Amino acid sequence: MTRPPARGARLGAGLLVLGMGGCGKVGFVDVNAAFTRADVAWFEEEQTLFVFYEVRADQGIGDPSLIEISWVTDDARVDWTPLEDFTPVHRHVRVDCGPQARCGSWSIAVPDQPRDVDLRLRYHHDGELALEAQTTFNRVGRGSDHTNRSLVVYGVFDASNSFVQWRGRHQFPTLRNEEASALGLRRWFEVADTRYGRDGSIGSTRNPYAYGVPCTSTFPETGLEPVETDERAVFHPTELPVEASRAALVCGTATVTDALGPYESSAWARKNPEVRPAFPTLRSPIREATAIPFFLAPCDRRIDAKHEAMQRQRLLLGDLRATCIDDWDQAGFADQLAATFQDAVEETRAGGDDMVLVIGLHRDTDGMARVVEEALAKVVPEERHWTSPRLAGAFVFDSDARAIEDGGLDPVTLWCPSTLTGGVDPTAPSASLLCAIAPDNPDFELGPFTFGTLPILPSRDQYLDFIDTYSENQAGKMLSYTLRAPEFAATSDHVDLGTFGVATFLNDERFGADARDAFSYCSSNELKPVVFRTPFMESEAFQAIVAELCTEGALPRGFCQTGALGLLPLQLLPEYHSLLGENNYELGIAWDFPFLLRMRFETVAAGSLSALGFSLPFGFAGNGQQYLGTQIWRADAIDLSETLTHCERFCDHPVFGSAGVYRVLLSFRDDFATSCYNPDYPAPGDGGFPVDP
Amino acid sequence: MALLLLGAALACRAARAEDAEEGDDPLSEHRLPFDVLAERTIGTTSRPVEFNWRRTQAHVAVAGDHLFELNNFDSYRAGARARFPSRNLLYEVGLGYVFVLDTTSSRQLALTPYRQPGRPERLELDLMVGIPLAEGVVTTAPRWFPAAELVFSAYAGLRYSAWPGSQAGMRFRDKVTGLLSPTLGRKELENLETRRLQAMAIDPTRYTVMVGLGNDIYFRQGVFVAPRVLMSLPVISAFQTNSLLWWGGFDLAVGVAF
Repeated sequence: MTRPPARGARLGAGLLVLGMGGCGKVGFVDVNAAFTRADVAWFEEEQTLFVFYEVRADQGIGDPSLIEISWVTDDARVDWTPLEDFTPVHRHVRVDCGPQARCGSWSIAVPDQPRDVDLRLRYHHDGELALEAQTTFNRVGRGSDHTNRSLVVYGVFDASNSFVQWRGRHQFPTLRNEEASALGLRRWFEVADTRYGRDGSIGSTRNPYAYGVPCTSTFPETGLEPVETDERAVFHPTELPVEASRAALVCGTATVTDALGPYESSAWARKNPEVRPAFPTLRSPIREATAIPFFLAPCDRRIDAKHEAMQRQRLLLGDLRATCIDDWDQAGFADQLAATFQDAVEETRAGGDDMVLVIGLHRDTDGMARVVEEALAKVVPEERHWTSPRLAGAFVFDSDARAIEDGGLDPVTLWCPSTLTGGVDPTAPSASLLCAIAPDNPDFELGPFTFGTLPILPSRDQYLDFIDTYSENQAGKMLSYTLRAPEFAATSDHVDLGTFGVATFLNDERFGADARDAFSYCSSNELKPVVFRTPFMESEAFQAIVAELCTEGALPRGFCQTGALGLLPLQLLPEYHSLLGENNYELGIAWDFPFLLRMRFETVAAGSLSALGFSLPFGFAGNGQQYLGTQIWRADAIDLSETLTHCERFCDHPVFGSAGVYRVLLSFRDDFATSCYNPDYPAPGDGGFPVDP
Repeated sequence: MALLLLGAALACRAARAEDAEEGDDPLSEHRLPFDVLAERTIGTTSRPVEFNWRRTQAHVAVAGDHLFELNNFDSYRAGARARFPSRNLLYEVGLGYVFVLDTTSSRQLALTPYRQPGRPERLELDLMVGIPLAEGVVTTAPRWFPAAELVFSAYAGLRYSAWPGSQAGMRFRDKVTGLLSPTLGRKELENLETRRLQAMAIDPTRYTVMVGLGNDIYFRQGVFVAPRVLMSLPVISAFQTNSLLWWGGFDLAVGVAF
């Protein structure tokens, strides 16, 4: 009886079999070669056959591989022949397409129209195996130079409009300009006999480069030496004569080559649009306004000493004597209070600075606030447009949160704390909303710990509730505050924009323009609240036209709203000028609040530990800063250098884009009214292959 | 040694006397003749040595290899190796340059759209361990040639391949990480395109685990000859395309032990 083989022996035998199986010869792998481009174009007028090819393979195709071509004409049959066996019409450089590809181009003189043009890859020059391509063949017949020849020559200028760069641009049915260069094609061209002229109307959408348009013989000669290259661009080494400064155009005789020899045509260069910032900086001197402090409170009784102390500290009033408002409900009290304010304003005006009323209002009835509001309405709105020194506005720190009810007072008064809703027009912007407080200020509780913070301008209820939990020491304190307001010149002109605010034409900031000029407005993330006006916009005729067109709905809503006031936002200036071509524009600033309050304060992240009926407050202090009012008055100047661009000459010419691409079908006048114009011009020394897709 | 031999002889003699006295001895199947016992004792207590390689400090040798990659390319390796013996093992560091040549077959293959996995010319660094399995003094032919020490060993180790110039144009950090990578990177493969044979698809494996068997023949003067057969284990290459899986090589080293 034989014993069955052990499990280990069977496993070993299995592995041996597998191993021996794996020990066989190494197999072959297919390189998976395939043509990704096999384009052939024959130009009848040039009698030249252009070949462009690209083959890719997994393993790469080495030098022994060959690209071969065959075709048939009515008179002959050209059998498979390596491309390199034909004498090229143009120069073709060897191209490195990477280890897994082979690509290139070739040009062959073929007088008669070829048919059945085919390309193939012979894997090895000594082998017989080949991969045939699906060849794309195009025939370009006779026709205009700019459409039926394989190379167009045109010119561009550098940033100074004094150096000309002549460029060649490949034109193939299935290939882009830069692709032809990338596949090794180099075309020689020369530009000579250059002339300059003033007429700017050259080129069309069908012939945007104006190639082949005859050069006007009456144009004066530039005197520049001929230039030539077989790259795609060459700069004239010398600049144009100064006599050509006014000239819009330069033309020259462009010579290219083909299978028949040299071929001459005309090439044109157009100067770049001459642009500059229309009004580089709009300056508005911002001065620190003088605070006129008041503390309004009942004198016959005390509402809450801790709250009063907090209000005085927040406004840095110290021991300022309170202005009594015990008789607030008596007839004529508002007039008396207004007179008190007015007296203080007149007394301070002698100092020469703009002023802001800073009022602490310690009260416990809403009627007191309404009386104060009434008194302020008699004093503050009236002065806000006056020439400096003037009363710019008022800042009220109230005892309770409320919204201003007087529509005339709201645009000039910062009333804190305020409610999030209510007021004159809940939908209109109000500076007081910046110090709005929530109706409740909930604490964060974690076991025996409670955490909370207090706004720097709280209501009495908020404050008392807070210090009851965390103590007065955790309530924070005001360190300093400043009030900034614009200085209005004697000639400052204000246009009331209603709930939007005011537009102020500060000091005759204006610029001129010719009717043929063009403008470009560039939007940015930074707010540029600038408006413009012209004499015509203030005329009755303009107002009548605006009214009529707005009634018909022919104008945008924003245009109607401001146009009826005789001014328009700056972004509409390019279109306005293209329509009406006025020659005088005045710029102004649109603002929604007359001053800016900047506060620096100490704020505390307060905490409290409660245990066994005792409460232990603690906190972490830090410095804070807050702006109330409008941010417009933070800086003395509004930079418009990149916002509004003014083109004075050659505005209809093609432009360069920000990536340096010559955008021949765009013009400054037609395409940049509402787009940013940031051209990147070519410069001498850039090299012979500009970005020209 | 003498005492051991004497003890064994006495024990055997006593056993035989007892056999004579007792005709039916239950231990008889465990008894052995003296000469057998003596042979066993000699085998475990002494080792005939013509050259004691364990007492040497280092071995230096030049080596030539013929690699059998099971493809249509010819690969030959020339190099040097240093060996460091210990009591039971032999540690070896080797460095060689592999020459790869076309054959008629590979030249024919280059004319087609097919390629075969292979590896271009390269440097190879070996880190091997030899484990002696059997050894002894052997006579030689012709007879006038002196007797030699023969050690039959199993070998295992790692072979690291490096292609000089393959990292051209790479950043320093990529070079370092590339050197440690088990396979060649894309850039390295691109750089090797111009150095591969036309019919070759480059095997990207950088590390190979090698195992094999070899005979070391030591002469009394310290000169040794070491023929060896190594085979690759496709631990890494099994997961790569265009890889050689099972391949091996025969190498012959001639050197001196110090």
